Amino acid sequence: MEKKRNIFLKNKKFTVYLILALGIILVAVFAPLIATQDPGAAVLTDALKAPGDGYIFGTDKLGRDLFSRVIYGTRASLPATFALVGSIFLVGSVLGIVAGYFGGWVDAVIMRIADMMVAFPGMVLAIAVAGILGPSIINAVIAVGLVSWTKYARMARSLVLKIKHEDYVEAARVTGSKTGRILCRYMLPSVLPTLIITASTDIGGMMLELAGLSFLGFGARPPIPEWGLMLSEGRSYMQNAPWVMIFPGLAILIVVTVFNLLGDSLRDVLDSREDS
Amino acid sequence: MSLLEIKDITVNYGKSAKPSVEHFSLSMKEGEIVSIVGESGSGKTTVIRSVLGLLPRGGRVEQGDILFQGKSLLNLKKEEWKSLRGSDISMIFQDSGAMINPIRRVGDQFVEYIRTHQKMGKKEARQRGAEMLTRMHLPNADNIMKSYPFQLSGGMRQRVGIAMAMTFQPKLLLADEPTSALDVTIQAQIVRQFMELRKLYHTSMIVVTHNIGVAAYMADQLIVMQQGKIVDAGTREDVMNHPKSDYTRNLLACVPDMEGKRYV
Amino acid sequence: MSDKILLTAEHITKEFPASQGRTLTACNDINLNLYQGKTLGIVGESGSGKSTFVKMIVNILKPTQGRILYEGQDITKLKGEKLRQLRPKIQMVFQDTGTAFHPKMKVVDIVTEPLLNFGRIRRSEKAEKARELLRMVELPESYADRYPHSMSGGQRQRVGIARALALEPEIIVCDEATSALDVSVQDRIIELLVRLQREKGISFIFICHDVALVQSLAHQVAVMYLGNVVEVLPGNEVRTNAQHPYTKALLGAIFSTRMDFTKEIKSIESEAPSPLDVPEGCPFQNRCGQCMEICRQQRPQLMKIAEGHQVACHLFHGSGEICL
Repeated sequence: MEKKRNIFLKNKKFTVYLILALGIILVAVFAPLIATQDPGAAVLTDALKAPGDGYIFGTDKLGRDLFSRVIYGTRASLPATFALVGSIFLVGSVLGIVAGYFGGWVDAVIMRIADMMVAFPGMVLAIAVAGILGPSIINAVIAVGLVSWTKYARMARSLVLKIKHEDYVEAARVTGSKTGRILCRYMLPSVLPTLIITASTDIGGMMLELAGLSFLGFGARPPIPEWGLMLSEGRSYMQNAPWVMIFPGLAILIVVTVFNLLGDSLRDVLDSREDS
Repeated sequence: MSLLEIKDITVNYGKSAKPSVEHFSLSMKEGEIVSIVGESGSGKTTVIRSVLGLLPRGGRVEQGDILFQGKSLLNLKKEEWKSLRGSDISMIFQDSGAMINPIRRVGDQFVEYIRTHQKMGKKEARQRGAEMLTRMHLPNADNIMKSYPFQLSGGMRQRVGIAMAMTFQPKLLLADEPTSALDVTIQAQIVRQFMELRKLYHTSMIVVTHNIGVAAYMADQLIVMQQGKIVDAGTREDVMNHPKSDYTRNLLACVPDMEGKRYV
Repeated sequence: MSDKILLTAEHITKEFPASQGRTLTACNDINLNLYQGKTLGIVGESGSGKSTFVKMIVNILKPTQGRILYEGQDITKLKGEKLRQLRPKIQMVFQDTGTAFHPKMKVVDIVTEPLLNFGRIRRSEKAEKARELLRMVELPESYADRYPHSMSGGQRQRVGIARALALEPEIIVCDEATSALDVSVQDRIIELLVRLQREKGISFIFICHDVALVQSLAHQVAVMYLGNVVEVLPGNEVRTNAQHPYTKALLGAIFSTRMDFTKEIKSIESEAPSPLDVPEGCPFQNRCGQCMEICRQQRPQLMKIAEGHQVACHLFHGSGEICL
């Protein structure tokens, strides 16, 4: 416990961003308590009202409270982003470690598939997936995930190749460690820090990509309060009711920035620990 | 007058309580070879680094003085060091390859090195470099000038390092484990090279090594160090035949030898 | 040597693919025997293939050709669980104590991992077993809770030996196990190895570039040059009876504390060719003072010139019988 506290005290930047990120997550968890109205409740008579009394952020074309929708937006974006990053992290690193350690045809098959995946432009593949499976947040996650895991696989593979022939790994083989144990005990810990840093810096970017897909209509479907979708819906009212776009846009900006900064500061924390 | 005189120096890194070198003294004449032997952590490298003012960050000579041709080396300005290093005093490291930039050709670096120390045309410098390489018994000097460091063997790189260090016929050559990274047959060649240089140019040398055989073979004076202190010093014959300290006696007994201790 | 042969390497050749479609022959047709309870020393310079050879013995590498016989089976053909079950018999001590251990494992975990791998002890017995192993290599028992990076080179190498001893192997391969250590530490480590050999009857394969050290501790010394074994002879005869010109060159290049310092050190001129272009004929031809016409054409084979003494050199052609 003492040691943990030191880490936070020593890395003030990281601590600040972590608190901010936790704050955002808490917003998602307690959205019903924070939101002033039901995000889906349309009061058509109040459509496109400017921010002011009763509606902090104003209302959209259907007269739904924007503040509540922006708050509920965290519930759409965060879980999707975390699921996406988590799954590409898992799939990518496992496949990368396996490819790097075993080499030969296993390596060839996994890495050729990875090559194929990066050959597709991400958005085009996402559009194709959405076209086949129908647009939904889950399908957007699948689409982005299909092209993004390769980065993790490549990274894990090259890290494994670097240490595979280190003396201590050979020693583990000579002393009769089973392959599974070598993978978990020797390979995994040495690739993990780098991959965690990558994943945490990826959160912001992935969130943007998902919002982008929703904006284009290949992700979240109405009436889900998703920021990208809200931007898309507000597009035509930009002239008369700019707040319809400003607030969801700000939300994306803030959340993405916070997670990017968190990722960067996490890198500093983990890297400095590796030096000592 | 002696060429180099180290007077009772104590060298300390940072604020650590224990100095890495304590009360080290040495006096050497022109053309003399001094070997300093010791195990890791004995402070032997620190000694020659302080002579050349190359102590790593935080290291400083706290006490005593180092005189080169009667002039103290401790408070030299940058400019003075520049004219001294490379021309009057030069240094050779364990792996000269690590000293040379790996992505530039040997020749280009050699030429640059010569031209920073002496005003000279590029062509002339190149010729001078090639000539030095030939003198170090490197066959095909022109070829080597065109090579990248990684294309040369460890022995060849070491000869290039020696050639560079000897270009301006320094009065004092400092060598830090100059043969430790080499194969035994190459080590013997390089040692012979050093002896030949001394004969030809009358260069004084301080050789730092953990290999007592090499140290003794080359030395006129032999110094044994342990944990920053001199435990034995004197002529080679004195130290090898009549070591004063138990430490030296034990060290000599531990060196593997054809006629020495047999374990089985 | 009339003792029991424990392990035999037969016609071991290892080739690596190199750039531009060339092949690097790290080991070329090597035949060696390891005798029970004895030490086989292998001496050679960098590029001699000695490390590659022992990596095949401990089954980290597979040979391109040839077999390694141990207890009647060719261990180079073993795979998977069968190979794993052989591991306890043949262990290894590494040269670089800075890289030989998992950076995040404590000594207690390092030395008992082999035992846990084979279920020889329970997790609850770890601490006790670790203490026993540390005692065996003359380290304080309290070191069990340390990390190797907080220990000196010599202490770390003792941990390496303890790990190799844990499974009670019949063979321990030491790859330059003392080369990175100070001489006084080296001396104590060798004493330890020799004591363990006497007490437990372990056979050692000891690789080293220092011929003086190897001959002082090996019963049998094999001299390697550019992937070839050029001479095999008893350790106590190296000083007096070495025959191959290369072995003699190695001996001539030793800087000894007992040497006549006024005599100029001998050494062969020139350097070994790259292992990528080993000349046809004798690998040593370009550095040999006694090179003959035949040496440029035909590779000399190992010939038995006396009991336990083999030389691969055309100078001895006809003075012995060709081995295998």
